[in-house]
Amino acid sequence: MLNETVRNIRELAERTLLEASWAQWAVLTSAAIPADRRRAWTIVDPEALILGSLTVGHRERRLDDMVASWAGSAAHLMSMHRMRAITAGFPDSVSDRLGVFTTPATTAGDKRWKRLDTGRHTAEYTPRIKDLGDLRLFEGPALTLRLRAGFGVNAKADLLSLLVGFGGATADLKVIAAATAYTERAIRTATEEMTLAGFIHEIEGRPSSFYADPKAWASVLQARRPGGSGGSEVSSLPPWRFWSAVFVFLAQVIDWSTQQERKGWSDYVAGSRARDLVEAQTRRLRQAQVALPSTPPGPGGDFLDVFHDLVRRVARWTSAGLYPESS
Amino acid sequence: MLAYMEASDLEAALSAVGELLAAEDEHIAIVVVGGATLNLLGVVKRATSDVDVIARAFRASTGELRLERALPFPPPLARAIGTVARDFGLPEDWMNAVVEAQWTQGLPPGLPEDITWRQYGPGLDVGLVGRRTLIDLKLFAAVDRGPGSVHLQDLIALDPSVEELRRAADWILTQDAAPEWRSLVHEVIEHVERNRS
Repeated sequence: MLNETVRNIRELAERTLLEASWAQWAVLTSAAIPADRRRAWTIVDPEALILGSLTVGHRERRLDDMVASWAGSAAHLMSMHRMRAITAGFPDSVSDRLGVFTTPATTAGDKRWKRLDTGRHTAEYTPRIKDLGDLRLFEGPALTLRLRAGFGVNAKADLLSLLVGFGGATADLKVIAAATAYTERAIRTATEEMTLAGFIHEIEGRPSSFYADPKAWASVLQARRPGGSGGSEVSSLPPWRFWSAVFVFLAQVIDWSTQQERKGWSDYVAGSRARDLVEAQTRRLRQAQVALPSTPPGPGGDFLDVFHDLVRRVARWTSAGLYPESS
Repeated sequence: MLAYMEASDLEAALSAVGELLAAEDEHIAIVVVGGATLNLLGVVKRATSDVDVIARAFRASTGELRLERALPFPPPLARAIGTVARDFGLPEDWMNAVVEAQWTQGLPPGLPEDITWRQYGPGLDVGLVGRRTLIDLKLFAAVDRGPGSVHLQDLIALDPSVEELRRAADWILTQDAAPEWRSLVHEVIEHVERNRS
């Protein structure tokens, strides 16, 4: 009974990550075609996408190919600071696979990535590197990458992408720092300078909060969204979501299930470890606005139903986040 | 936050600790006294608020069982205690070693030989002290805490013989040099004998 429950939870977490990964790759490159042919309408978090893909690369080797191919073509648009910061939240089984990205990135000439190569990754599969063709930087979901291409890979590009994606809603330094994985200090400097330039606006207070004018930026950016007839139309910009928080959670769920299968935990220990995982991820999931179930005390084994329910909620959040207009 | 545990609750909590230790490839042996021991041995049927650990045990290279002070709890045990507290809604100190202060004045004589071992989960061995040690410690606690304490009731429930009480008194009289200590000890013994079943 326990093994079946753990398998079901794992299957759901992996399926959710696979769907999210392919839907987001498809908005960046024509080389990615998701099974249901749907492309996400959400601002892609590039580093979270790499790490989420590496988490389930063992299920679909084509995802490893996609990561390696992206590294060969677009490593210069990726943030090493964010990659390092976000990787810290993933299990070792994922960080050990970072070589799938860092090795082709370094080979392609971006020597920055050598510093993240731990040398621990296993070589059970050598990814195939393909030509990704033109990257879809002008489509709405690629906003972060497009801003990095224009302004450089730094806190300002990501800050602007976040605030534009918030659609006019405000955010304070803490939220921005948590979402962008830059330090509060870096974000403080970025907000000061971007406010001075009039790119974003400050609402003074304790704490101060910041927002960007979505209509103004949509007019400037002229981001494209594929229309139903196969053409493109100018549209409002897609929303920003806490993809890194959710991908970290799903990766930890998969790691939990792997450990249970490997170590043969009892019902109690499996439930208790699940509760540890949820406690560690609760703050980030709340920031992502995932509806959390209540977790009453009780012997660990009883917690598995609550845990399974949470993974289902995250799966629903993911689907709604990828395709907001169909939810 | 106080939570009272019946024997079945104790068994479940201790088993949970054992499973958590085993999940970390750890195996720890502890020696328990007090109300938890009385409950688990079936001497009393009253809820207890905590598990009193007086010692940890290990096998020397000679094969001999040795006891050592309970504190500090090894990190895996401390973690397991905290986890079980969270998972079962127990106070954080539901398993504690307050009683190990007794080491300073000396443990009851013959304690290492007066232990019954039980295994809880693959990772925890719990030594329940036997009747002789229980009478020693309960008489000491009853004298120390006064006639209104639960310890006197537990001592009465053990139904010690005159000889057992005399032997325990011999040890307890070494525990405190205060002039009134001897009369307090005798007062408690008389109370037990009056209320013997």
